[in-house]
Amino acid sequence: MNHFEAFGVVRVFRSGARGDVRALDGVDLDVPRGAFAAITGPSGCGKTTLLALLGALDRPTEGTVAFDGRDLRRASEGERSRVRRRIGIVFQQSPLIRGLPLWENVSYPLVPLGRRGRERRRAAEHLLDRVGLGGMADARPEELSGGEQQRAGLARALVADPEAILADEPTSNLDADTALAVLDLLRTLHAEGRTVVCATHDPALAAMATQTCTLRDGRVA
Amino acid sequence: MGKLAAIARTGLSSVLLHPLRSAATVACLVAVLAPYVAASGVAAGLMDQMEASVRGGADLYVSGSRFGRPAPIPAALADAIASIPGVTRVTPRIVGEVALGSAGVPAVVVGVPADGLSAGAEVVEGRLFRAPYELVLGAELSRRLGTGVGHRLPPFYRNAAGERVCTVVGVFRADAPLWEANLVFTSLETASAIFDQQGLATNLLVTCAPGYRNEVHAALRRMPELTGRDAHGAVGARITSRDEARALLPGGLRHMDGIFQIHFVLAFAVGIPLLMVASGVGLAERRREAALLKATGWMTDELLLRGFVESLLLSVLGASIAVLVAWAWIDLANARGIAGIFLPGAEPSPAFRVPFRLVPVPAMVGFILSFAAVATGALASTWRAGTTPPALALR
Repeated sequence: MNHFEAFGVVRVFRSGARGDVRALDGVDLDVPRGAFAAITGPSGCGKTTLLALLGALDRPTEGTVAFDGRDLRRASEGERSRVRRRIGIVFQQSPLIRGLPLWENVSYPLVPLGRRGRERRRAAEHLLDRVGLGGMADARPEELSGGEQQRAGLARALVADPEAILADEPTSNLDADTALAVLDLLRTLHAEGRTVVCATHDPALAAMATQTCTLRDGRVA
Repeated sequence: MGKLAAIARTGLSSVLLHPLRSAATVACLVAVLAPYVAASGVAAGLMDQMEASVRGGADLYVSGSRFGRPAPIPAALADAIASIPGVTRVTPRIVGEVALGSAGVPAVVVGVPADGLSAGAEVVEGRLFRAPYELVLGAELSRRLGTGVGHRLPPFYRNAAGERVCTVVGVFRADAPLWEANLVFTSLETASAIFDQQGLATNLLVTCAPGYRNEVHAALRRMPELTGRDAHGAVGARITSRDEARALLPGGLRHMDGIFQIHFVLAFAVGIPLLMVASGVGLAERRREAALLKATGWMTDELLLRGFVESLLLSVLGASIAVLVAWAWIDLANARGIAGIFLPGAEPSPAFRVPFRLVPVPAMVGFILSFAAVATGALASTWRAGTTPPALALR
């Protein structure tokens, strides 16, 4: 069964100066459960937009996007939030809440699940350790480098034990060693049975994928 | 329950995370609420004093009536009233307004027999009046006029009998600050001369033996002298009991209070947009946070709960500080700048102790209104951010 499905997806952004921008134009994509998919293509081809649609972060202008057989375009806002709880999303510019300790940033997805503070901290510390940020639980995001913030974003994506990971350029801000560690982590997550979808320019990451979708000017090439 | 508590705690975190936004909101709340709570406290304090004055006053107040309005009454009727069974004392009193000094400071002259001075006033300097044209001034009025015991006041009235220089022979302090700020006590005869109303009094203060008030009241209504005629036509009588006086006396204050409430509503109407702007300060930041939380699985109602708790905490903090500021304003700064609203003639910084009683209802009403305004600002911006697709809000 497909975990993610996109059929005839069109996403148009209204831009005053440039007129309507057709970021995606009839994209079809099936990602089976447990697959490792890489979405590749040049900058501006629509990789991030497709990832946002698959992660229920946006609605398509036309076409259908489904997660686990559920049509996300027709889903209510509440249903879409419930879907997002099952997906861990890693952003390209990993946005963290400034001023909030790292462990709280990482464990915020657990708050609406009713987890206690001590339990949240333990989970956050475990994942920070796993992404190489052990001992930095009380650091603030503004004290971290870009790469460290990226890894903290990965830890946040994993904290609610999601069944699928959507990662937007997860290795783009990292040095070679850290990028390798992240690739190892993604491989492990895939090996644990999670579906992984990455938008990437990184050939090493694309090589790990069990399926690849290449976009060009908003269409599947 | 654990989930709600956990979300509520993030509301507290949000207050601490955005100190500038929180401080701006609290500052707006204090600026709007503190004057309101302070003014309500002064109004309540004055009301208490006035009620105490009425409680310690006469049982019945008798004045004339023409055109349905209070009018002077012959002072000689005091003897006739004194003969009614149950009446223990009748004191004629003259009350009239004058302007004193070169600045024309408004004052109220009260002419009473020397033994008829209210128990609420105590001469603290000099002595009580004995001879004609001797005055006893309220301490605050004396200070404002720059006069004291032994000083002579230049003529402040002129009538058919001419004008006379008056001498200040005493200064009194009173339970009620209004008296200190405005009143001049003198003899009944001097007051008659000042206002050129020989033989007349503003009213007669009737004190009754315990349990006789109703009978005396009824007897007064039947008195032919009070329902007769004089050279100008029919003379009526207006008899006001202590209870009626209690209801009437604070009327002016309630009027002032009402006017202030209207001003507060207007100020609040101006303050609400200010509060909404303040609570929405850092709108881009709030929008980004909301989008981020939604992207990690938070629902819009959970975001709203977080904003609600944040608003509640800010409102509680703002209202508490406002009450403290109001208390400090009245108790430590002696209602500087606000006393004049309720005490006509009082200077911005009165020398007497301004009475106050902090009342919970206005503070509560103010808090609820403030909370509504803060929550509206915070929740509206959170709602807008929460209903925008996270991908768009994070772009």
